[in-house]
Amino acid sequence: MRKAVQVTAAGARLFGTIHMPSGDGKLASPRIALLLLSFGQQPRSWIGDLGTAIAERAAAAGFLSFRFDMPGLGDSPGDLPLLRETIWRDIQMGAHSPYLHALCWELQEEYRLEGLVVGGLCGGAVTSLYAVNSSRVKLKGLLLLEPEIALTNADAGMPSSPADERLDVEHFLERKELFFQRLFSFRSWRKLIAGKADYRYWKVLFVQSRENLSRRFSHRRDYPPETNHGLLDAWDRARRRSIPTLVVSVASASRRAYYRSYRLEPGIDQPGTRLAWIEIPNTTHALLAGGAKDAICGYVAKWLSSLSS
Amino acid sequence: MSEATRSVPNEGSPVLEDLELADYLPAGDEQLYYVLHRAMGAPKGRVLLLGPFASERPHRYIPWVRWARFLSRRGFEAMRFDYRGCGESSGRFEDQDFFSWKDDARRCLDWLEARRPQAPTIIHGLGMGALLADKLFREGLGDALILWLPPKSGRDMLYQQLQLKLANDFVLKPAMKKTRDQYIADLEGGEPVEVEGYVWTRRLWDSASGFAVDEAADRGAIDGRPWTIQPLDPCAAHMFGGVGPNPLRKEGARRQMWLLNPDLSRTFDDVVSWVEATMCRDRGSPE
Repeated sequence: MRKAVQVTAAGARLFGTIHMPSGDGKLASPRIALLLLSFGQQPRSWIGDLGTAIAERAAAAGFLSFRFDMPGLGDSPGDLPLLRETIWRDIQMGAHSPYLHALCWELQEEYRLEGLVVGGLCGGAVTSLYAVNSSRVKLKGLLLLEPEIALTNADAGMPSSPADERLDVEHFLERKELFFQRLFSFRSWRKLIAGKADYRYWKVLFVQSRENLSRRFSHRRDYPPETNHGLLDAWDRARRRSIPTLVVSVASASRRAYYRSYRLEPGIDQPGTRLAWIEIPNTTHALLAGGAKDAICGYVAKWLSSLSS
Repeated sequence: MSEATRSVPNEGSPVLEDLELADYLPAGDEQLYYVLHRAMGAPKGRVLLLGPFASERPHRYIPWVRWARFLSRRGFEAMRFDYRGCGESSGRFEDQDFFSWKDDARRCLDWLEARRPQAPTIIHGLGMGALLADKLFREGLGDALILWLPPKSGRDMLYQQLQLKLANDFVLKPAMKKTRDQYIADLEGGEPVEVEGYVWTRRLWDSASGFAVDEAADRGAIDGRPWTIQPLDPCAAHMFGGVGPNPLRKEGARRQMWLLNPDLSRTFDDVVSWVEATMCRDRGSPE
């Protein structure tokens, strides 16, 4: 059973859906509810209706579940920027945090909750993690699906030299991957010999490689330049407070390398700080393909039940 | 700088936002989610918006909502909804087909037409919604019909959507790579195929065969009721149909940036002008 709701939080009117617990009407935990946030610019059901499916499964397990659209997204009114990259960057910097904190407060009061498990996918996970910064949120758990630790480059890219045109990768890992592709590409070699190389790509790759080597040999433990330090601070705060956390990510070499570059340990549980990290193979960032959608619903329901027991 | 290169502020003023109502309609054992964008005062007309296929829905949602708000601001009452098994509506996707989604649209249309005061009803479909809207209109429902980016047929649309499956296969490299035709053969053989989180069934594939828009037939009007396939400018086609790369990308720009909220008011204005002109002509009003 679902209900459409609207809540005014921090001056914004937020549209949402409540999934009422099903079964015999008994709540698995009468005081703890699940709140899911939008995925980037997507509406609150997420791509492939994954958000809806998780909330349904949580409700079937006896948990009151909420999903809300942040301002301007989904059904919620509000202003939006011209470009997706801008809103991604804004979300990563915590633009949705005040609305989340106020929304949590409203839900806690309205439904007399002991606390909330807050979660989301990608950008939704980022906003969820920022909930640790608010003393108003009675945070009982964090559900982080494919959290993004890097900050998106929101520079619209002013016209520059033609050599820059093909540069559409951001991070060192992407550049490295592209390097091996180009190494075995006849077309790339032909362009290099013809003097039409993507000079900016090679220049940045050279600089980043030099910095990486320098870090390795000087034993400095720097983070990648695009690191979202505010988010990592929130991560550390959650671990210090031992907030129960379930992280779900894609089990791929590049994704593992991505998290490790931020000194996180994908796939490894930390019982001491109540962190569980599940990796799902044969799927993509949207966590739908290869049976991931169904698997995640099962993991979340089981994890929520463990919190209430 | 073109008009479309700036983002647009939220079209709804605080007062208009209060006119938006989200709720559920009962649909058998399921719940049909809808949002009604009411007009200030008596509406000039009521517009039922039939959205695209499930896997396109999240990517078209922002401009679709903006369009509904634009209509409301221009004095039309707009209703949009989610098909059963998709988005906010309940139900399992694999239990649905084109006929059940057409029934959903019919249910919403009945509800909308029962509202007072009376006003002409316009059916507007986007993508798969255009196929369903066309079907309803040919059954004698609605006073006018607007179609945006109608696929050739239901099967053609599903065939195109299988690109998503191929894209995932390209990344995930399954042991046995299949072509679109092989996936279609699986469906025809009764084997479900998972595409972007939705389980496609033979029932879905079979039902799609009965839905197509004949652009040449009944040009301009059916039983005296006007209809049109509205052309979209490149920006609107990109936003509503994913057609082509970002049309606002600056020449020589280093990176491909993705549009989120460009100004689509020119397209919106064109459609509203068509509706107003058509309705006034039909009613013989000099307005």
